[in-house]
Amino acid sequence: MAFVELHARSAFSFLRASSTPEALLDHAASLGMEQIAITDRDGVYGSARAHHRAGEHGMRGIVGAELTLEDDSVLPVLVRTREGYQNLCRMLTQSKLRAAKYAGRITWAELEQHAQGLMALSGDEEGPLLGALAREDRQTALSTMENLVRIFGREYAAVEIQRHHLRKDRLSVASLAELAERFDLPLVASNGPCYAMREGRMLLDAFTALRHHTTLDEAGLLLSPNSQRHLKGEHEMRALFPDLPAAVDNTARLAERIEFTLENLGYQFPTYAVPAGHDMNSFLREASFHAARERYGEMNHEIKAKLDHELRVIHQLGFSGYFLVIWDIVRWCKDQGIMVQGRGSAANSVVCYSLGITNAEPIKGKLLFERFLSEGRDTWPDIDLDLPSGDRRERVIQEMYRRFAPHGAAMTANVITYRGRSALREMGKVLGLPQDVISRFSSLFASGDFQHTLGMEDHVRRAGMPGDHPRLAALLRLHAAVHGMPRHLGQHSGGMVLCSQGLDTVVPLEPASMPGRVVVQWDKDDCADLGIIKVDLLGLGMMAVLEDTIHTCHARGEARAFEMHRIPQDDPATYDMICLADTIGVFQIESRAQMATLPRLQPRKFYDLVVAVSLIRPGPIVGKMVHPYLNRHAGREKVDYIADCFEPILEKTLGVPLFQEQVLQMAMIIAGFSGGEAEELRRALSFHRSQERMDKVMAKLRAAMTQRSVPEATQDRVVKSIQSFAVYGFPESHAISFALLAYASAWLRTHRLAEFTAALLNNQPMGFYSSATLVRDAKLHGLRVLPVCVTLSDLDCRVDDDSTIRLGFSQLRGVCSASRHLLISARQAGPWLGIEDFLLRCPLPKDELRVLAKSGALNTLASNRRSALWEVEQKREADLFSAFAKATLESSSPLAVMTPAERLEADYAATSLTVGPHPMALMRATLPDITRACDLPSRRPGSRVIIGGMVICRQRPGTANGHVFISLEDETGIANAFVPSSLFEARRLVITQESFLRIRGRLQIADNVTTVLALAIEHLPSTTQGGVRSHDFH
Amino acid sequence: MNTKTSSSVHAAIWLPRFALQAALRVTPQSSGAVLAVLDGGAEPAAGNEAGAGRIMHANQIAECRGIMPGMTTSQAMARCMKLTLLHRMADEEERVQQELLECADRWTPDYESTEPGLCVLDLSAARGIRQRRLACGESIRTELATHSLEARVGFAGDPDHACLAAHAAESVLIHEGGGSDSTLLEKLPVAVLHPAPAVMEVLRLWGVHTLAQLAALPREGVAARLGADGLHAWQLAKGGTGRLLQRVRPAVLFCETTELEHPVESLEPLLFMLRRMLETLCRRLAERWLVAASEHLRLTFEDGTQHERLLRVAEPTRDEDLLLRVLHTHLDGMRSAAAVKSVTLELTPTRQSMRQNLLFERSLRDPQRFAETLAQLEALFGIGRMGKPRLLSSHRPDAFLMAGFLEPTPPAPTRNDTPSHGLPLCRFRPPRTVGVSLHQHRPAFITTAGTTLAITAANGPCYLSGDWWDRQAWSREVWEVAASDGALYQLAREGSHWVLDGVFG
Repeated sequence: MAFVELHARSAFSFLRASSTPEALLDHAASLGMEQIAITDRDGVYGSARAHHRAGEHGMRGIVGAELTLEDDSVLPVLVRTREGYQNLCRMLTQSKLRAAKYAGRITWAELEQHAQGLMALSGDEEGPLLGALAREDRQTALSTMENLVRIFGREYAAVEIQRHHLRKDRLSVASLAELAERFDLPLVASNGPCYAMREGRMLLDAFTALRHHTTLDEAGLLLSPNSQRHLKGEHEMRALFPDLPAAVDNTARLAERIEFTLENLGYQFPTYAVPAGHDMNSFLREASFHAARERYGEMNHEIKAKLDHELRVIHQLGFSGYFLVIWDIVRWCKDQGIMVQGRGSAANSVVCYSLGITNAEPIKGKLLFERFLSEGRDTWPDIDLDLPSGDRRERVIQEMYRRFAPHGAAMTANVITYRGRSALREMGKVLGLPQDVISRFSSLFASGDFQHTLGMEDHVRRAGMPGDHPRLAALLRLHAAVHGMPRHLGQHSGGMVLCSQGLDTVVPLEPASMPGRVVVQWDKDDCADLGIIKVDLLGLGMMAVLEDTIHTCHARGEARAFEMHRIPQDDPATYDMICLADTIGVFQIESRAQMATLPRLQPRKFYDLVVAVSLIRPGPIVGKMVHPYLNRHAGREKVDYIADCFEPILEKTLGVPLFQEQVLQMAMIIAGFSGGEAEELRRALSFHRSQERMDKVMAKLRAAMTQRSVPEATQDRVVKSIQSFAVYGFPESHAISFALLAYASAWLRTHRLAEFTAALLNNQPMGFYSSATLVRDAKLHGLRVLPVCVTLSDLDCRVDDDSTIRLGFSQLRGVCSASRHLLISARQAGPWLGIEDFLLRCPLPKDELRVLAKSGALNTLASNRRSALWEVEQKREADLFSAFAKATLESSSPLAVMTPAERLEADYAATSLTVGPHPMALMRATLPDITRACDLPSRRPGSRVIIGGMVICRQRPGTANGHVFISLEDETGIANAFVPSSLFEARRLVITQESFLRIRGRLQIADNVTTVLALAIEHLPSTTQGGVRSHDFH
Repeated sequence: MNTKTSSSVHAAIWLPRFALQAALRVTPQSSGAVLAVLDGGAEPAAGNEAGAGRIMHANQIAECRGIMPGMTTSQAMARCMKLTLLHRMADEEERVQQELLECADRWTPDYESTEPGLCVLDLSAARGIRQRRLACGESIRTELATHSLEARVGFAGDPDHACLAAHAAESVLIHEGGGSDSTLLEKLPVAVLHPAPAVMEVLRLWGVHTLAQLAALPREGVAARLGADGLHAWQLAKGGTGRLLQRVRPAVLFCETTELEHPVESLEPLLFMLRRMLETLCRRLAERWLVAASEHLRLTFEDGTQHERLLRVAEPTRDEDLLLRVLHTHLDGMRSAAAVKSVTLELTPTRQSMRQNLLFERSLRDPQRFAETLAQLEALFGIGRMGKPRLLSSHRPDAFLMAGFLEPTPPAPTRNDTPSHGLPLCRFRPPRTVGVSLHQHRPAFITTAGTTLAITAANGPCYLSGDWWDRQAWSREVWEVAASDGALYQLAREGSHWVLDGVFG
């Protein structure tokens, strides 16, 4: 009988194995294995991936897990039936939720309680049996055998034997064989693989050292004795066990008793409790028509027909409950005053629009419902809900936990993997590299993961590791091996899974690091693969800003009040501002790339904004579609539809496929893709993890096009334009939802600058720019920004009048929330009589008082910041005599008043922004050769210029072939520089480490967009030590 | 600023960029190099990442390029890609400090080791020093320059002012109180006073950067706000506290060196000389109720080579005969290419053992005899080839290091790959290289010293490997074989070579 590996660990056993489930499955397939069990430590983390990959190879992925028992021994169990799977999930959930992370243990009693449908092996050297034998504790070994037989029965328990070419194997296998015979249990052979191929041993050793917080040199006997724990095929296993062929045969016999795979997970989306006399379909119908009448005002034939059609499809697919649940969430948010907006392909639906789930009107926008739901589709529709970030989103999440308690809701996991910096840091650590080399590498690598123009070896050498370092080769090998391996499980930013009959029977749940949060063991792609519906509750800072702005405007009276849906469309002043790329703080169109596009695009209507939002995305940029669109828009280039048949689809985007819907339609027209095939393509586009999936669909597309005799050149263009979406597919409806927010925020910036700026500052960090840049920009637009003041400020930034805002205490860095509240409450008891009174009534910690003093917040009570700093240092105690002291004037300070440069530095240190002059303004007199940002547009294009300023943004998009974009801010605005990759490599540390830069280059002005092509970059000595935090390499 | 009585003369010797100077003595660099030394050790302990790898001192060229103490290496490299980064050398810093103190010792016995790179001398008793201060300062600088050290010397009436003068000096500065030198002192940064970090932070916020600014603050105001630490700094800035020196008590050296007029070629005269040296040293030990724990012998030969050896004494003693016997045993087996030119003998002093033996622990009947025997054995087998083997925590069989007999032995690591049952393996040391012929990938014949043994049965292979990350990567394929001579052997392949590890039973 064929050999089946029943005890393989994947890298999802976190630091206990070093191959991904995919790698194990691939290698198993190449060894001719038909089935394999992935038994990760205390979880089924890798099982979804293994199941999917097994399907691709025509194999079967057996589900199992290694359970850590109360005595710290580890027992592998395999899932036989769905009941067994549910038992396993429940058991793991219980142990995880009651203990700290990684400390969950399962008792023998729990195991007995949940043993139905499970099968147990006796385990390897960590197992309860072999562990006891190694300790020569025969009594425990016998009781373990008795336990296994009692709990699982002779049919579903087996004694596991492993041989790893070690001397100890002989004795352990002999002892195990004897016990098996005595208890009449079958012997099963396993190699207990921890990696797919021999090379995996190195990474496993490194992981072992990491797990024990030591180095490879110090790890000694903790490391593997040899490289024999790789996945072995039948041939090798039979050679290992020539004396026990039955043990190899038994693996298949045991596997035969396993009927469960993840295919029959038994997941059900929660149902919605409908009023009597209704079922979910009828209730959705009634609710939709009722809501449509309210939202549309007048129901015409088209709306009715659309609603009818959509409801019929929803009914047919059995998704009525899903729509009702989402509708209910949205209604709850609205009742709570929490702004909510649906997006994703749901925005194509009239039902969603009518129910208030989405705000984009699909009929007017000619959005196709079929892109959202179609009769041939069996996967769950995709509805994402945008919510204001922060507390308000958390309230919605907690409401979900409450509604579906217990164990009906959980966040999806986010698998954190080893990437460039973390990979080198950890591997460097286990190899015992000097800390300064590791930290210098991190600084050089300041840009996260992107396409590098510098090889890893050069990179490491530049970090100070000589080329002949004895451990360089090992470091490079380990770095390559660990890259992309799971490191730990985080939680997805907003993906939530819901289930009607207990999610803990579908997938094990565990506590997230964040208090009050529970996560499932799979990420969103795994959940999607297994048909578990995810509702994305995404926090958008801009939603919070809009909500706050509306609230402030209402509070300030009728003249300023407005409603979101009553914002005037096509407002010329708003579009004028957008056309000038004057969009700092505006949702989505504030980035440097957007700003470089807007003057060329000249948006004058809403759909132009939709295009702008979609155009500056990795997809169109990689596909080199941005410039054709802009050229066609400007009339400089003829519109080209790739193939004539695409004209109706691509007409509105001038022949450039910008939206996912267009891409799918193109595939359907030119390759004759069916609805199902288009759906497969859509999933490949939205499945971020696998290039392989994409390649498969592309091959299919090409084959279909060849069959239809589409010319090779056209095929290439179609494939290229579709592949560009693989990074980030953007449905049109999604773009419309974003464009709605973009327009609303642009209108607010134009007409409610004070309220909008205050809200932006209160919701930082968000968007692209720091508070300092937002304040400088607002000041350029005539807004007065007043500093934090203990007498006048509130907790948050406040609007004083239409052109004045006052910074709030929340802007202070280093004053905790409790102290801010104490300050407010003490002030409510009566105004401060003087600094003495303030210091007595508001006993804050000294370091917080220093922050208040140096920021100038005490200036109304002291004559200047230094004077306040002198006062706050003196110890005071409230006693009977304090009352007399209250009114006394401050003692005269012997300290010199701060210079402007010192004030600036104190501002940045205390609030990360300044309401005073910009650092460059103070330095300007000493920099005669530097051209101000505002003067650049008036200089001759092509001329040599020198720009200088505070770095507010460094970008090196993956789409830019290693080139870098730097934005320098001065007192007049922002100057943008383009740094070719060669210059970046030469000046990498200057660019990434310095806060102020001087860039010499050639001025380029095209379509009102000004850029400096950098030729030389150097550090600009500044008057301040720090600066603002730059928005780097996101 | 005021100074102390005009009769007292204090000198401070300061080695600017102390850590850098020390590091440069170990790894000299060209004069135009841009240099900086990093704080922390070269390989800081795991977890201690925050402070490690920051610039501690930078040379003047580096400072001109904007490289400042406290910067991360990346920030510093951004300012100058040609920056050479050096790691601190703790041993060398200690040596430099010792040389600094030795220099001070030549001028007066009254000196203090104020901090690393700074010492203060009380020269008040030196006759005519007041007139010779400049010359004295230059002389100190010249002497330290011969040790590749750049020093600055400050003279003043009290220790604190002398320190400040040294910091303000370009080479030698004599602070008489008042005048231009006072101005120099007042311009010094407050950091030279080494105030507590909390005080320093407040002073920075107050905009108080120089001694003059600090001294200008009202005493009560400073005391009420900065406490005792702040007041101390203020007093130093104001004119010092008139403190006494914390004198360095000269260590009694249990070391004797004899430079020979006529080089010695045989053992006899050398032993004679060593006995004389031991007599002197043991007398010194006796005066202080101390005994010798070890002997450090250094012989310098005519050809410039040296022989150095630390000889441990089993039981600390000041018995001259015994100590000489240890030396004798060691020298007995020694051969050298050239005659001995100079001899240095140093005894490591220790107190009489206060150890109480455990009830059931038998101490050595004659520890000195034992030590002597050990020394004889080492002389016979060679240095490092005698001692107690200590098993290393490694999968590599027989991985051990030789530890001294008198060192405590840590518990041996437990290996779980070696069964506790079965025949014991009697190891061949070193393992015997053999030739092995294979049949179907299994050993069939062993050839050793012209004899060929047929293998009648073979168990294996067992694989072991490790240290793959290093140049010492190793791997072994181990077989247990029964040979035609009736013996059971352990056979191993290391790379392409076969060895017989030992015989079972």
